[in-house]
Amino acid sequence: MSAIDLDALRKLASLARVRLEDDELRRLAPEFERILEAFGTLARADLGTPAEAPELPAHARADEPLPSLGRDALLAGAPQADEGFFVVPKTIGSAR
Amino acid sequence: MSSAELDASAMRGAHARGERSVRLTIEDTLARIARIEPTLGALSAVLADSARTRADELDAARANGFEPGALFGVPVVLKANLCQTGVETNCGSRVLAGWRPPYTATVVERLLAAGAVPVAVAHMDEFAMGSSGENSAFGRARNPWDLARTPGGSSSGPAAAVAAGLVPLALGSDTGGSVRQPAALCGIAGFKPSYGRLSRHGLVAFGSSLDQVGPLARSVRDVELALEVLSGFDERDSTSLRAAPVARSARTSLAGLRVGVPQEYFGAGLDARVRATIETALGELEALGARRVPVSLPSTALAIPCYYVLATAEAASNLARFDGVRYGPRVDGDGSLEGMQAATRGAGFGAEVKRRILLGTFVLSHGYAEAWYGKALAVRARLRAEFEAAFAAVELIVSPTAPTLAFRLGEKSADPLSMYLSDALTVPASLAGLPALSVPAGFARDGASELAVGLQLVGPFGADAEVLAAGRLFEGATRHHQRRPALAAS
Repeated sequence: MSAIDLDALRKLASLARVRLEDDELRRLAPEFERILEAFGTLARADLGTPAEAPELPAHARADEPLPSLGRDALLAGAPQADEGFFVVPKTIGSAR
Repeated sequence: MSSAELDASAMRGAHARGERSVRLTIEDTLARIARIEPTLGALSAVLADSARTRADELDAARANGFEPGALFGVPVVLKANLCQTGVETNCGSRVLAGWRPPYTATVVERLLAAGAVPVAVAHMDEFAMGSSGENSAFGRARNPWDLARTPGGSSSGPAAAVAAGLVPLALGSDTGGSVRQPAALCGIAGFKPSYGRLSRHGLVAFGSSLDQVGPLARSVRDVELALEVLSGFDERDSTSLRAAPVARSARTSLAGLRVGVPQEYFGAGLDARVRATIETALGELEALGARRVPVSLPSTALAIPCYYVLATAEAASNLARFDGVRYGPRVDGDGSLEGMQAATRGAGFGAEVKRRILLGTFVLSHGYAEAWYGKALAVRARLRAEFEAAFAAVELIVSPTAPTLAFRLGEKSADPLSMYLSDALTVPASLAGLPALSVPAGFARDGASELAVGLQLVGPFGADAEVLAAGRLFEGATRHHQRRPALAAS
């Protein structure tokens, strides 16, 4: 059912934006296999009922502006900020 | 009398009547922490300066006629995933090392408004993913009853701190059992309220359809007190119940209470000593007038895979925000945006968090989502319906909280699947959003160690006060909660 090989795991890690070293991948692959095999009871379960989202309490407050945290407070925890902005590596016109 | 012998209610009373200054209690608490914490390893930060300042402010306020709040001068410990302005809130993860939030969680604001004094931040499994506390990047708490064993997880530090008598009350979070299971293994009370009962504004998210803040205390009486203070609608949490704060139930007897015992919770994975202790506890409930009724929750065997599919899917999404842009340290990687994010997350997350993010990404991925995520949603709906049917015939469902006694540190850390099974008896109530309490059921011997066993009481949605009342009456009759580990007497 699972067939999670190293390449598939590498793809998942890339989708999840998590860099994994080769030794981590090799350790993770059999663990993943074992977990998915054990959880196969779920995938194989014949439930008959259609999937439905759980009913959770949810509400939205009135669409009115309220006092909020200042920009400086929000930027204070960032690894790099400049002139009121988060700084990230260049994304336009970069090599990738 | 040392503050370690008082529960929160008694401590508050002594402060409010002026029999004892808050400063004395806080000095007492800090001295106990200095003495016991090096052995226990429960705390990631001690907030000595702010606690002393606050103690003096509270004493001054009382002297000026200020009406003392319900937790006036009570020292509390907070799990490292509850935001306090300016206090490092690292969730046990390197990815948030040094992060100081710019705001305070609603539950912490309510503790402060009631006069509580945060004295420390406690260790936890990274992002609340774990059942032993060993997945913390910063420190592994020990079980006060046997220092070679786990206190449980993921609220490992809060549970160990309360059980060792450092403080009478702590706040944790419970996604699949993270308050109840450590409470059980440490011999204290731990409560996961009905979904939406306590605000999660300022609780760092793991699995949003499951996460709940929960109090841990040495008595159910203190849990009730905490719930009165913490509950009530919060506009800043879109899942907050529009309900008044929970008032303590007036119930004074268990006579006639129908208590459901689900056969599926007493299956093959249950340790014989846990089973025997719970059987004795069930007999004690009957002696108090409760009526034991067999019930069935047939989908219980699917609860673990269902939980781990849903929780990891939600975690993969919630933890996407930790990408080296807005919080915590950054690792540059190959210099591209994607490379920086992957390198930051690769270096910042521990093995269990990576495993769960990848599992969550897998169960949501094209071609697999229906077979895994869709099935898990269907099982969840079925579990809820089964609980609902059972509650037509009983007021409470009781079971062991954890299938085993506290295991040795390191015993399960190389085997994630066996660790996941530690949650087998707590995840069903999480999936159904139900209020669930763990209360000390008794003790069992393993070699030279006496280890705590927890009794789990689950009620219908919204019946938080009734669950707690039953727990309070049970503890009042059995007094298991008054036993203390030798470490607490040191």
